[in-house]
Amino acid sequence: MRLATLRACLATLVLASGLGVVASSTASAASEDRVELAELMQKLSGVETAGGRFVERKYLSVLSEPLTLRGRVLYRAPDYVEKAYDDPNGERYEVRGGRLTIEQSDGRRRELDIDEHPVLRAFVESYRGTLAGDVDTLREYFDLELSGSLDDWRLVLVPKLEELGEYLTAVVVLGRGATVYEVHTREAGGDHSVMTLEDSLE
Amino acid sequence: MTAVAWLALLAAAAIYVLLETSVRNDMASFMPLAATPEQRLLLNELREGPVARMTLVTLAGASPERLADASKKLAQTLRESGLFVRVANGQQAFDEDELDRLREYRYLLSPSVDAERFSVQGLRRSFDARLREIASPLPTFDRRWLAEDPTAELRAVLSSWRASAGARMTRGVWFDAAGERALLLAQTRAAGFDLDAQQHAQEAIRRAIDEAGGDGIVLTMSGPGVFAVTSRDIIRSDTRRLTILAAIVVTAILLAGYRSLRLLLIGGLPLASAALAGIAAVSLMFGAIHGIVLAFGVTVIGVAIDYPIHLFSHLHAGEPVRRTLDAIWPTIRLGAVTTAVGYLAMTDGDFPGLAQFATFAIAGLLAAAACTRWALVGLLPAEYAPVHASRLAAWYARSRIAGRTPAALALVVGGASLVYLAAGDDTVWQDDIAAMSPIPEVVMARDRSLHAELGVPDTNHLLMIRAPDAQSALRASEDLVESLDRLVADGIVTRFDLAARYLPSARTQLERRASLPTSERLAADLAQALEGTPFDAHAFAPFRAAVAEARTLEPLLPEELGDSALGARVRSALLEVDGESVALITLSGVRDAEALAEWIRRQAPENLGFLDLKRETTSLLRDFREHAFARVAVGVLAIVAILWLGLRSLGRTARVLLPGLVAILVDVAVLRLTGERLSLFHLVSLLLVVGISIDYGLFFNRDDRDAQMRARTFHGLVICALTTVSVFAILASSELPVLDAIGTTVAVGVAVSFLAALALARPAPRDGPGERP
Repeated sequence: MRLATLRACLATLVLASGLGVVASSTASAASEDRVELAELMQKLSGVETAGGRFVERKYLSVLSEPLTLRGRVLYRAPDYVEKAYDDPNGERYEVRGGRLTIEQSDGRRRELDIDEHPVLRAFVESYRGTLAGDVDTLREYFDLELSGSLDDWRLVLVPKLEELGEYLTAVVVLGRGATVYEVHTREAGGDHSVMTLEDSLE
Repeated sequence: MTAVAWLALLAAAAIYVLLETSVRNDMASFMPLAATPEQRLLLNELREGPVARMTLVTLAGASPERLADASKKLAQTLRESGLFVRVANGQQAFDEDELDRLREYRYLLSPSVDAERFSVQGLRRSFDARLREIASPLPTFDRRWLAEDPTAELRAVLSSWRASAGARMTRGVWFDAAGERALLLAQTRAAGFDLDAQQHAQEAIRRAIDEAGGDGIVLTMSGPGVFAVTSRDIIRSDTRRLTILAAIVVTAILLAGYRSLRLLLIGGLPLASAALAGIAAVSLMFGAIHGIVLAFGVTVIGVAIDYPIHLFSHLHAGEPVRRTLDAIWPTIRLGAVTTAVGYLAMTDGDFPGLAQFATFAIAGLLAAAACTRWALVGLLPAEYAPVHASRLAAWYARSRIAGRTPAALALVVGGASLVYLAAGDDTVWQDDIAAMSPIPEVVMARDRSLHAELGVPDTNHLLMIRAPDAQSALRASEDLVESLDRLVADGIVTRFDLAARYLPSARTQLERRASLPTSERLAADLAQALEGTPFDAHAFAPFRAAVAEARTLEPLLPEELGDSALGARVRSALLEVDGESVALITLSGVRDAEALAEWIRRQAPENLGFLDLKRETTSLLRDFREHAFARVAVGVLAIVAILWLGLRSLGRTARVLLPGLVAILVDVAVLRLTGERLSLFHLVSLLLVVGISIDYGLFFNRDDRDAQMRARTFHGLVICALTTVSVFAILASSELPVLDAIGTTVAVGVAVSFLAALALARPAPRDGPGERP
């Protein structure tokens, strides 16, 4: 994504907020899950680094075939996430605390504050917050629903923010123990994408 | 009998005033009337323009999360209230209907629409960009319209509508640079001068914050409407406070001077007459009375009280009240008539507020004098002598207050003041309208800096294009855009804004419509553009349908926008003035006024005007002040003429006028010395000083029969001066620059008048065989 496009994207993010209402179904966590959620979060928060190579498939109604993207993702406790795409345009996204850095293949960089836009922040937290086991932050943006066993769990994040609901209907994170291996993103228009970790650092 | 008749008249006036008089508070009548179309436009902008209706709200004192939350809730409540045409806080400000309207017309409104946009290359560029956006992990808000709007025209349209150039965003709303205060702009539906409506809107903002659970959140508001309402509140509370204080002080002085409760009550009658006559006269002539004029009323009361005081001090045993009255009436009459004539010059000015004030003063003074003459006789006790005249006469003779030395001193002080004033070379006039505002400069400066942070046009500089109709005005303003872009590129201004940015002229919309491809053409080019991309050509049927539909659309006209946020925005920059259409182009951040002036000269179409609001306001005030000065001069000439007619002696006329002249000189010198610049209100006050000083001069130059009569005159004048100086000194304590100016000027002037009149008094007669107590 070129910088100009990115700017347009971000600018429109601002404009986007407050367009219409998509009622988000609020699934509250059942009480027996809470113990398990606490346990899982506890486990995740013990992880120092995670990540590896990924393949991401985007299924959009306007595409005749899914868009496949590959790259490498890296998490370092407590708040560092990096997502670097392979070719063709090979952009690299890096979040450190509240700063998002976007580096293009030609080396140009752009930094921005993810707190500027709640939608952006929620996007980042859906992934980073899960890896960090940061239940408070997750709860700030999402209603959480955990199912399965600790060895094979499924965490569903449903956006709390109305404006986020216009982009996302849910993020589903699949994991085994302290390892996340798949992230499904369901968009409001019915499009969705799946990011699968092909290998793991551990 | 006359007293009863007078009371009946007073009661009738009171009923009239209560039933018929409305008090107006809009500031419009305190602005001069405009002469030229530019001035009319300027005043229109000041009163009703978008800037005058803008309120800047800041929220502070809590975490950014809570502030952002409060800002969102506030914006929603305010939008739903219907009191505001526009509420902006960084969030999207359009409702679904308005957004649908923009989406429907996107191909006519978007600045990126041209033939190239829909060529194979142009389409391919758009699809490449969309593909990159899809690949990005960051979301785009218009993904849901991708199938019908792959060229992202709605995004382009919305970008033109963005309110702020550069506010910092935190949690989805505007914050200040430090990230501590959430910012929100609200533009009221009501005009800026409609203070009641402004106050209503401000209360709605406060209520909305309370309802949004704003515990601990510090809400501040600024903007012209807020300042105007605050000013009015200060005027109201100051008037009430100062009136009470003045009443207490005057009561104390009168009690000390006359030691009679009965006289005190009787003395209230001329004051009530003055107030009622003043209000009734203004109400009859102008239909309503302005709040500030009521506040000024207190100044007239300060003079009106002199008439009963003269009468009271001259009462003494052995002389019927009627004879005392006969003896002093000619002097009171001449004083009242001269002062009233002085004000007459101002009644038909270009300044409705000033005309109201002059009318109030004339009616009030004449009523107080008439009341003293005809209504008090029956009420006053016979054989009443408040002044121990023989003792006072002896003291007066011993003290040598009047005589060569004091007279010379008065003249020297007056002369020195004249020299001091003549020596100064800087202007003594205050032409900055802001200096008359009661709002502290710090608050104004903060308001300006926040506006700058938001990138909201400061609208101190406006280009105006006049045209016979709205479409011609829009077209003419569009023709300037290219040249204006260069101004921005050259750093001469930072930003410009015009109605055509939001709603292009029909001509431009038709040009864009004409550049849209036919269905067949688009289908073919689309297929070609999508070849080799992962996009599914069939998925973009909604896009082809939308373009086909746009080719049948008639241009969107300003009239069709109605009362929506879109309509409000367009109307704020596309006005109807005197049957013409005026397109306004606001220039923000003017860095190089010279270069801008040069640019304007180069454009030079006849219908292009330039308005530097600050400069125009200043020159308007200056014109007006010069005008008022001429009127005051005419008033003074009229006073001299009336005096000369009344006294039939040039020498005596000069003697009567001399204390006033000294007082004016010293007064202006003192104001100058304290760094005060003279405004219109000082001028009005100086006229009041002239009037009062003439009273003093007249009384001190009477043919007093004997030393005791002079002693009574002296007693009366001391009480007059004490009451007047106290009332105006109290007025000078006001926070309101206007009241402060009047108070200081009159208090100093009257004090000097009294001393000068005393020093220059006609020598008192020796104790003769006249009547004794």
